[in-house]
Amino acid sequence: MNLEFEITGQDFKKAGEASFEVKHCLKRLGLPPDIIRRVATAAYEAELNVIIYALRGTMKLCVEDQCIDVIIADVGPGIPDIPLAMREGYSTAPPYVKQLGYGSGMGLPNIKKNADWMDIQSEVDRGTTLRFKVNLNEGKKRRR
Amino acid sequence: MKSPAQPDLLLILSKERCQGCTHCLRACPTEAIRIRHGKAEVMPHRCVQCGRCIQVCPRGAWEVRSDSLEKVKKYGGAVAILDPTVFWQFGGQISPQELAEAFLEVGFSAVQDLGEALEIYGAAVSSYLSSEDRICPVISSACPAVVQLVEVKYPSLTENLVPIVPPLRILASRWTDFGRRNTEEDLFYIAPCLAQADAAIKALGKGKRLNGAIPLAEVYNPLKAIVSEKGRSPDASFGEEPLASGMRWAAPGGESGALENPESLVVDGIENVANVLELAESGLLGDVPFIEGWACTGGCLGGPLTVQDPFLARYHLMAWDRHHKGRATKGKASVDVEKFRLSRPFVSRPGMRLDEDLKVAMEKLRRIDELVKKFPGIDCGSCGCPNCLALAEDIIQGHATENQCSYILKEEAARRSRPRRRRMGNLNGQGS
Repeated sequence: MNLEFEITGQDFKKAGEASFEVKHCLKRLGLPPDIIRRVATAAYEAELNVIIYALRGTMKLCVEDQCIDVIIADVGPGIPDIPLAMREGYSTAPPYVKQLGYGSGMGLPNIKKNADWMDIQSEVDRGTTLRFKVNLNEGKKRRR
Repeated sequence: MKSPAQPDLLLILSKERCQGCTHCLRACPTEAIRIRHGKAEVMPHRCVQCGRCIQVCPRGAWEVRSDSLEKVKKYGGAVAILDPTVFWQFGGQISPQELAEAFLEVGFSAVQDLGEALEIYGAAVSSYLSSEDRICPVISSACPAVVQLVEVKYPSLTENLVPIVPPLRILASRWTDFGRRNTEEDLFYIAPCLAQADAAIKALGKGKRLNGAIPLAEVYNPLKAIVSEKGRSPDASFGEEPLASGMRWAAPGGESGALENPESLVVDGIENVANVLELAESGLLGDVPFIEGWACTGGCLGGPLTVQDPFLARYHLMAWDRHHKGRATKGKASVDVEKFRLSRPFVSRPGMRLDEDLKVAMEKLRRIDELVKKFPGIDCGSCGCPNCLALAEDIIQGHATENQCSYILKEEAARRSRPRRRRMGNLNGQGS
């Protein structure tokens, strides 16, 4: 089963809507609170990345037997150096985005922290596909 | 198996008065109401007892199943437990002592103020907020409707709720600590709202002969008559009288004000509370240490069972507050938080869950997602559901049918009328 949500670049007013939808779906599935919280947090960070950097994107929620699989694909500038982007505090967000309180360079690390598995495929000037999974059974220990 | 998701509701509907309009349907924060066969119905497993339905009903059709003043009189009197909200219904006109006397006149044998228990509760919350094992942001459990909203709609936040025994239970379980000798007394809580009335019945129910809750609105008129008759008190100073404690708890910010570290996010109105909880759930509240949330706008002063306008009531409260600056009861000796820990912490209620079986729930979710596209998305409520998505959900759950949607019915009617028009040679088949 999967559901798809649209994300529009630069639309900060709608920041969080796609991930709130994802969260709402997971609640209706009756998943454990801890799983919901981790997916929601990671999904929100991924959604923001699309809003900050990309033109547009989609968030696809797939619920599998063993895990929640979320795929965020965008059309945008791409990430030239993924290991660098994964570093805490590293950000290429323009100043006006930082003024809005976003782009502190914690997004990707935060996704990694909350997900059991994550993968980034990116092509410069084309776009980025970020995918993460949260296991339903024996996931990570909770972190706060 | 008896599910905890099926609480006995105090909320009842007068079928005579209900006209099947959509006011409550739209106001309900958990989409717990449907209009079926022209009358409102509530789904108990989703109801958080916030009382929005009572507040918005233009015909007063929603009522609270509760005890009456007649019952108190019949049993030869009982102790009235006064929520601070009660006092502010008569703000500026009466002293706490006179209010207590008025309660005796209407048939109670004694009055016990909830204020002291609120202070103990506040001190316990203070200690909890400085404990190591707290989970941030800590969410106040003082408003039982907010607690239930978390349990039903924000399950991942149940651990953030303050795990302290509620004030009414502190009072009931330590009755003699409050200077009361008779442990056999009948207790009636004078309730500002549905959720507190329910909490009172559960809290006072232990080891008491007779107990319950009486809506504030039910005692208001007889009390008001006495208060008016006596006229304005020449000296309505509140002094050291017992009722003067916990007064601020009636309005938003009252709880935070009683804490050692009052740094908190104060939010009132169930929709606003829901928005804040949504942010909390996604980890977007930053370093907010404590959320003081009240289901009613204006806090308990805005409760659905109160009479006085909550803003006028707050005006009186603030005037009193200014007058009593420095005489605050804050900073009372700290209490041992362990003594007041809930033995059973809060648990989530799967109120929003589509099915117990994850696979079945997934299939339902997929079908709902498909089905909802058929509806206009204007959330008109005329199908009896709060919005188009809820209708789709009800259909998949087998509780509704597609032609409850007037938009679909209209299309259906238009389609049926087309061939006939053509037969009649009308409009050349281009129906309107």
